[in-house]
Amino acid sequence: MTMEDSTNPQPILQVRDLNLFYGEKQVLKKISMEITPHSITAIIGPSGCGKSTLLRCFNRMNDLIENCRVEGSIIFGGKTEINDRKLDVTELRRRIGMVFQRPNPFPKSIYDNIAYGIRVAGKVSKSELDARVEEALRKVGLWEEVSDRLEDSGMALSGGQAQRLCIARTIATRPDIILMDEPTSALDPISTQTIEELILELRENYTVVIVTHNMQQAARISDFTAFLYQGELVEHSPTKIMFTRPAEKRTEDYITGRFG
Amino acid sequence: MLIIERAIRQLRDNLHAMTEVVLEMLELVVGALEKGDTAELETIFKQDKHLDQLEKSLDRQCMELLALINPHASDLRFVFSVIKTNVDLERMGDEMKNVAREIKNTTEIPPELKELSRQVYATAKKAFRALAESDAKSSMEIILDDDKIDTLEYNIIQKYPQLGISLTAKALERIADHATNIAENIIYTVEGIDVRHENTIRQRLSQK
Repeated sequence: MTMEDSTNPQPILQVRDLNLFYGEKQVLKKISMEITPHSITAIIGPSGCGKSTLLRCFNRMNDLIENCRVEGSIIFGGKTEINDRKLDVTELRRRIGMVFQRPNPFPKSIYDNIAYGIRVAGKVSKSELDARVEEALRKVGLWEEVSDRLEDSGMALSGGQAQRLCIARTIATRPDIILMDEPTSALDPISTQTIEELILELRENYTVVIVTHNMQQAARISDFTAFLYQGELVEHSPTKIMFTRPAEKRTEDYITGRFG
Repeated sequence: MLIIERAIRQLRDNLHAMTEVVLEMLELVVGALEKGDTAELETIFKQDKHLDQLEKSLDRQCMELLALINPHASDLRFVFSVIKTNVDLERMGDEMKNVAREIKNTTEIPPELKELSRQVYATAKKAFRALAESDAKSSMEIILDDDKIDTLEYNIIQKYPQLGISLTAKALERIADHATNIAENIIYTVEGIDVRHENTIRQRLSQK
């Protein structure tokens, strides 16, 4: 790797002039941004600013919403156009996974929660499947807690454990990017701390984009922060800079609690 | 390790690096006074520039830690103390520059000045160890011992009218004052008690 590569790697996502409309209403306005691989990017902004909508653009989750129209381009990995209507969306979502606000384990065993996505992605032997389930559970620190009850229902886990199970489920399909939509807002402080530590570890192998209401969480764990306001990307900069000397007055006002 | 623990550890490491530089500078000062050898004093000025850079970087680190991690309770007291200790360390560097400047032109070094420099060195070393170990007890001792250094400095100024010697003694005494400030910061970090300007606390302690 050359010097230039290490300081300025090729972005894993390149968003260009992204507009999104729900019917007549424009929700995202001319958003352009780049996401650096192996970084944690937090998207912050007041309720209704479009942050979840933006996140959902990255793996085409908005396809499921009626009357939703997207313009502009999102290039994944330097070549794949995410907005290409002919794209295999299932494969896209394997490579760009999503973790939601409420832990949503499948009503299946802990084992099958993880194995499900791996089986969908392709045929694997039982021993390989076992190994990948264990690997995923270990990565989220859940293995020690559940290894003796893999056949129990995933629904029986506590909130924090269930959310880690969902992260393990996402990891199991070996994605490049993990999108997280308020992954800790339904959890208690201790579980939140565990998930935050986990997200920091994920950065080594994945790229994380996280939407959070919790500004302190964005500050604590992210490398970059994007501030969205009324569908516009107001500022996108290293988190250290954003929270010590933001460039924009609106960012300053938002993070100091003057509005929003 | 928790996010805050990691951040605090990094802060501790950088603070330690700074105290190491200050201690090296002090060793040079003591050595120059003992042997009357001023050749190595030029290093003091280089070290001081280095110290200035470390001060800025430590400040930035504290600022980011406060902004991003929002430390509370003992963590918050620690960061608050580091910000203040940082200033004391940088000032110690400045005072050593003053000493270096003065002793270059002083031919006769009185034995009392050598003794003062040894005591100041010992105090600083003790303060830095207390800092690394969050040791409130030896911090108290440092505060109480500062009077001895003040007396020594006063006697030198009374006995030797030469300006160079007075200024050197004054600068050395100031270095010990900064070490005392650091000791006060340590007590605040560990115990949460502000002992500055509290003669009653000092009296109570000295009676123990």
